[in-house]
Amino acid sequence: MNETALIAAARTSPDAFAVLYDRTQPALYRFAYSLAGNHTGAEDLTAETYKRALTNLHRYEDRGRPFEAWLFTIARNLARDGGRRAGRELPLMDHDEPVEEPVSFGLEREERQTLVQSAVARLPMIQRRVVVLRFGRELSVRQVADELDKSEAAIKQLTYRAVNRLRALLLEAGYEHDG
Amino acid sequence: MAERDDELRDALGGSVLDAVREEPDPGFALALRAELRGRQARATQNLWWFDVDLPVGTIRLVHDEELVHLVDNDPYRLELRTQVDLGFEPRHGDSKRVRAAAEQVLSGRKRGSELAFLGELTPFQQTVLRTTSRIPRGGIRPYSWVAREAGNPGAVRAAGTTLSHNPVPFIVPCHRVVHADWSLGKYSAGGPEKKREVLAMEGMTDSRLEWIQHAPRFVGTIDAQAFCLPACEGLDETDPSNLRAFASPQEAVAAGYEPCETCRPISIDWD
Repeated sequence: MNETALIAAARTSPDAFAVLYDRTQPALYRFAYSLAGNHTGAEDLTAETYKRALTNLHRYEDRGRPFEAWLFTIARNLARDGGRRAGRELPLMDHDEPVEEPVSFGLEREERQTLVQSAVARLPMIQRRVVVLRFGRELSVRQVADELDKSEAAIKQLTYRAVNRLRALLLEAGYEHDG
Repeated sequence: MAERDDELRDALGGSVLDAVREEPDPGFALALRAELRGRQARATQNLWWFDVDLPVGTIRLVHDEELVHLVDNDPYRLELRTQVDLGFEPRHGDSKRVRAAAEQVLSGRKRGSELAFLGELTPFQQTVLRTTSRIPRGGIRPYSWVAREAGNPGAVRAAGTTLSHNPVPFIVPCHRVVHADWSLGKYSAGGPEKKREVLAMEGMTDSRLEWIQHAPRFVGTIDAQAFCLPACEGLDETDPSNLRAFASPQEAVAAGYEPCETCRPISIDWD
């Protein structure tokens, strides 16, 4: 069943919602963990996100972006509200600091980050690892190869595939680049 | 490729670093799945009911495809509760899967909290009902023990209120929670006599109950060098010469006795 049909079915069927949950939950949990910084926080955030998604499912509109991006936005808003309510900042990442905006993107900066993170979360595990080590932790190809116990050639190949896959996912999700 | 690298690095930031290493606890993921499904079952009016015959009477269970939402031993009261709590009439149906799971719970082979939909309750109330589900069939524990095990020793009354509004009696065994002096206390599913009947069905006979009520506050087993609540399983059948009385956990610990892992006697308000 494609995503649009599945979401429509999930509005009236507990079973369909469970399938939607199975498809999205691993990626959402990882995203929630990145926001909360620990398992307890990630569990709370994941549970709250799905509860809100369930209540607002009738308001979800398919705008050609993955359903996950919608869930990610809910999680991000909940994390921000939760941090405000508790009178403290959740351990958000440094990329939430205001920085100069490149003008070449049509989407809001935050929305773009959500899209990229959603796309990364959808990569196969090994590609995700390579992307994170290479671009997140900024390791060299050599270092990534050591870390994952693979050859440098394999890491280059995996990076190439991951970047292509990411590009495809991002284009499909409406992340456009003028350059 | 190099430009693309920069762009990605910029967009990714540090947050995905952790994201890649973290997978949810499978138990959490499954429980959340069941709860969400239960919520959607209520919202879309997909609930059914069936009856289970017990020696103490018939109970009616309202359920979705995985979890039990409401239980009552009085069909008229259940009808009222479904109108108030659900706002619709569940349909008659018989899920083999839920029935088999309910039988496992009722015979003490599975914890009731694993089968109960608790999504409408506060986190504290959920913890109270989960804690109560750990009391074994044939056993009893005081309200103060439940409050302490649920992480809030001061909330004895709140624990009592939660149990008196238990949406799924019999499945979550609120009848196994009693007063600190081991008198049975109230029971919303039919009064103290009913509570005694249900406990007797599970093996907590009048003679066992009397033994517990007249026992010292804490009982040590000499050969095991461990101390228990008098309600711990099998103590009343232990040779009395192998038992030793303690007035407090401190006294037992000072005598070199370890707290029992089953009944967790340090989780009782002994002041």
